[in-house]
Amino acid sequence: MSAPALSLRSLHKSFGATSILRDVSLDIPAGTRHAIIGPNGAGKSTLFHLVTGRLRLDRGSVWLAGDDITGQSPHAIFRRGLARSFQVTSLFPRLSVFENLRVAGMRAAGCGHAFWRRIDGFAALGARIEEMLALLDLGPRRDVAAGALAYAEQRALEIGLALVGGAHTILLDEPTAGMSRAETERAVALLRRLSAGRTLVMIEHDLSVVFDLADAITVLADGGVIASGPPASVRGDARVRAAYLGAAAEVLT
Amino acid sequence: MQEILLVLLNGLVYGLLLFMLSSGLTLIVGMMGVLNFAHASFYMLGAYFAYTISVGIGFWPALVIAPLLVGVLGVVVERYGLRAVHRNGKLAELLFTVGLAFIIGEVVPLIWGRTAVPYRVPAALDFPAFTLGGINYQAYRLFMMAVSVAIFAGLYAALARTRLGLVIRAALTHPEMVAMLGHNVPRVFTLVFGAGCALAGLAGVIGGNVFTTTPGMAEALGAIVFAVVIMGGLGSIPGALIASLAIGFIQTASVTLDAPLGAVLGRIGLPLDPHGALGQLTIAHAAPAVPYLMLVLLLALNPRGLMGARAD
Repeated sequence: MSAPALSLRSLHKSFGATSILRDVSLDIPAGTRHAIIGPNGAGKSTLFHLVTGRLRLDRGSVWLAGDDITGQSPHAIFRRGLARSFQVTSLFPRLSVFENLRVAGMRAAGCGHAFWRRIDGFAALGARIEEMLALLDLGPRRDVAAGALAYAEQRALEIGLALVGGAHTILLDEPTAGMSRAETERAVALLRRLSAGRTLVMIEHDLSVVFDLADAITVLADGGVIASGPPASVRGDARVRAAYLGAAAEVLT
Repeated sequence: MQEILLVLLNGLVYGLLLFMLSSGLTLIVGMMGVLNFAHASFYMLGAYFAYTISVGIGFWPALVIAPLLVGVLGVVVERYGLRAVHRNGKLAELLFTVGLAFIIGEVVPLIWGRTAVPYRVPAALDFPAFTLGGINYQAYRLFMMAVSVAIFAGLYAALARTRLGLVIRAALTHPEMVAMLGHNVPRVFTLVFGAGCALAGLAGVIGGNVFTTTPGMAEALGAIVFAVVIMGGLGSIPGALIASLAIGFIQTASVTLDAPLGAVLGRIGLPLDPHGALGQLTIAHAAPAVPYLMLVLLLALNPRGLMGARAD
């Protein structure tokens, strides 16, 4: 059996005297879609910051595809194939959709060094971007400035930037936040397409999205894992209902 | 009619020269956020280097060597000066460039003297290309135009079509994001700074002999170049071109016009006493203030400049 795409081994993190995460361990097998849910303040975003190297761990280790990446810098981790979706504000607003993807993909396509050469001459990268445009459903919008896209399109492009660089594992923080029902449905279909052959880890509040997409669910509450497993088992877990779901419990039944 | 044509031609030459200076500065300011006060000092160094080289081995080698020397100097300043200062924040960087401008301003007269050096237009181009209303138009000025236009075209193509250009355009708004995507942003900064300085140097080489090469030339042009960069919008090459040409035309026109200021103000309803101190002034006297007047007006109407890339 191959190493998990992402393996967290008893992570601990405190800010001053406040303990944010306590002994969080999690194995995410390659090629699966994993959702992390939990009430606000459970430590979900902190967990992402620890995994991507933005914050330092107090204790524990992070393994990516069998390699220990604990303590590495964000861009070193990015180059190893772990991408996190960026914020909408980090798109390049004046560049076209195509150019946004080109900047993101240049390095991975190996043309970061030949700086003076014409960009159009790099066929491998061009093909890759076209493929990504089709996947993102942004083909007709390729020459539009990113700043002029609709919100849902920007969120899609944001994920595209992370993926075109060749990541095999993607972390998404609330990929459907702020979207209408129809946009959410399209986003779910998009995530399904994008995650084919990749590992997807997402924080998500919309439980219908979670149960629709995820192969496994981890529930965080008060800095600890209170349940983890396939949707069916999490759905039935009494502690999950008590700690988190409460009013939303009807979604589960 | 011929007078107007002459003003247009001279305005174009001057505007294009301003553009060569401001195109480098606008990229530096837009991308790195560094208000480089020493930019016009590199223009002055270009002129002085070109003078020394042209006395030694001629103008044509100087046209190539002097900008390269200035560019290398720019690379050294960025790599070993600015980058170290960068950690201490924007104010430290600003003060660093102000200090650098003062140092260059003091060293130049030590080496070349306090008065203008006899840096002359090359003999090969010192002939009238055509005559306009009894005034000979020097071929060298046409050469200046050609060089400037070639630089604009080259710069535009490089930014639009090369990989480095794409990275630079992306870094104009989000340098930290470009670094996250695996690009070596500090090296791109060094390159842009060096290229910007080389362009300023080239402006000095081709402009120093038409205007004058004196230790005061950096100061004289420095503030105008800032006005151009701010008017054009930080980081915008087309914006810098439009602002350069506008200031070039308007300043050339106002220097040439010797209509009394009082008559113009009188026409817009602000009559002046024709025998008072203000009444004696002509439009030409007010010419130096024109770029700044335009700057203030434009900023009041549109704080981002004509085509600004940065919102902050």
